[in-house]
Amino acid sequence: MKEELYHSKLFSALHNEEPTVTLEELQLHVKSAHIGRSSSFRITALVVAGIAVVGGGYYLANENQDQAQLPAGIAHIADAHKDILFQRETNVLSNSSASKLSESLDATEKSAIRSHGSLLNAGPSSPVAVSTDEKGTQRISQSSESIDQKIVMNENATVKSVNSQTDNSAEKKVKDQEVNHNQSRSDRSAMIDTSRQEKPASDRTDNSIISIRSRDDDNATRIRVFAGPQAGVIISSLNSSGGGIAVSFDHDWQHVGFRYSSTFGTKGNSSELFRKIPDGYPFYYQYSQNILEYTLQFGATLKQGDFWATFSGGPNYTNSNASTSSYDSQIGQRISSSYQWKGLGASAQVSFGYRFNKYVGTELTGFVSDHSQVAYGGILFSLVFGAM
Amino acid sequence: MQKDTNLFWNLIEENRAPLWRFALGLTRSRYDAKDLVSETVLAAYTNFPKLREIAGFRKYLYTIASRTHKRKAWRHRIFASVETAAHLESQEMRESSHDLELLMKALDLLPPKQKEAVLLFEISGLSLEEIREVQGGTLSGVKSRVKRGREQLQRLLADRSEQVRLSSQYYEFVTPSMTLY
Repeated sequence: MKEELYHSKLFSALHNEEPTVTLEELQLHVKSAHIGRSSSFRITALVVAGIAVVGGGYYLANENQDQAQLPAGIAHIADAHKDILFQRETNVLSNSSASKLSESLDATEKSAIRSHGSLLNAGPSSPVAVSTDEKGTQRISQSSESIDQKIVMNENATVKSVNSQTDNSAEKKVKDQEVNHNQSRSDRSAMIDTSRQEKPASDRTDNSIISIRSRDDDNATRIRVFAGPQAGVIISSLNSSGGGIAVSFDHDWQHVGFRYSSTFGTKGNSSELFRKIPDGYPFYYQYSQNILEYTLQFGATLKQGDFWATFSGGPNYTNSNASTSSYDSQIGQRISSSYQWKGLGASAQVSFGYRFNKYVGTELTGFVSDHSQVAYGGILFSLVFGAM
Repeated sequence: MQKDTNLFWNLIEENRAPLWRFALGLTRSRYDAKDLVSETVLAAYTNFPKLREIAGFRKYLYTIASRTHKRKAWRHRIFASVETAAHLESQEMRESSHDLELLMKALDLLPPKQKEAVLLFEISGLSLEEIREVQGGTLSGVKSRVKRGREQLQRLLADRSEQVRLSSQYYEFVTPSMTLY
């Protein structure tokens, strides 16, 4: 009982303590805290519907030098075209004699092909080899070290072609076919020669990365920057779309963000890289490029009511896959090649956002990314979720 | 909105003194108690529009205070130096009455959850059900905590009062210790 009383007395000592904090102080504390710092966290889902992200390439090329001096990404594109030309030459010759294949190419082209192969494979020179299997199918291959560059030829049409050559009943037809092939080849050579002669460097106005193919056209040393697409279709007619996700943190004006985006673009027959194909010629090709980008952004965010603007920049890591695929329905062959490039670069972006409520908003972002091999940019329309 | 704001501050004013005493009991420091109350009120203000029933305001307020204190204690354990804590403690001791100081030291020797339950029951006047809602668990667990806490507190205080009687420098018998969660 005595302890209980003592116990109660001690608690009463605490009960008698007067608070050292007043209501006014608490109100002031709340007010100052709400006026001052505010933190927000956003998860941004990038929706790039019909808005392009890709761009072209950035390169410094000496037109007089061998293609091996070009950046690998550009060299790849040029090389892909070489493959196409090379294969087409091969197909024409295959009907008469495969052993005469290499002789059918001019010395400059053979040299270029070999040097490109060695450049892309970062190894010893990989001379092109032509072989014929038991089915009569021709294969064009480089050395086994050639990983990035693959040439696979469709077998069916070649078989038909070879078989028809041995079929006496179709001898006349084959001869006609050879004539057609040779005629087409002549036309194409004429076309190529014409394009080479008719397009001096000063007259070239295209923005396509593909225009690097005209390296034989002039002797100028050029620096060209290809900006990204703006809406729907990019400058080089590379139709692209993509999406991604970004996570960003804002504290006061400070901004840290991470963005991942993926873009896929394609380009068809109209590309100048592959030169103009006469109407009705049964040749189809497609160039496509896929770019994955991971970027870390540091910057500042300005807020005004429900609007905000973020300016940021930082390093990025890009993984680019470019591939070329072509199919000649007349000779029935398909060629595909691919090239992968990945590395570090830098990105900068500006975003303007508006919040519908505390948790949902929208954002429009313009960005550019630069690398030693590729430069691209785009406009991203985003939906934003988070605490804003 | 203005109506809500006025209502909020009226409710705060009603609970200001018991909340501060609860904070003092938890922190053993008037400075820390003030900080804890300020942070609690700020958090309560921010989330007040989400509060569905005004009847649950007291539970809501003490839940915030309890969690804020745990978070601060955790940070304190990592970042604060022992010397700083000891200095503040001795400063507070000189400012406190002997009875209050004795009580707080005895409270400090209780397990954290038991101490909190006793303070909520004895100082803040929360019901056992409200304490259960603040601390979680079962009602019987809360009852047990309050009961054992009070018994242990009585035992500690009896021992110390005896020690105080035997020695005028009673505070040296109590090893200063921080309540850490």
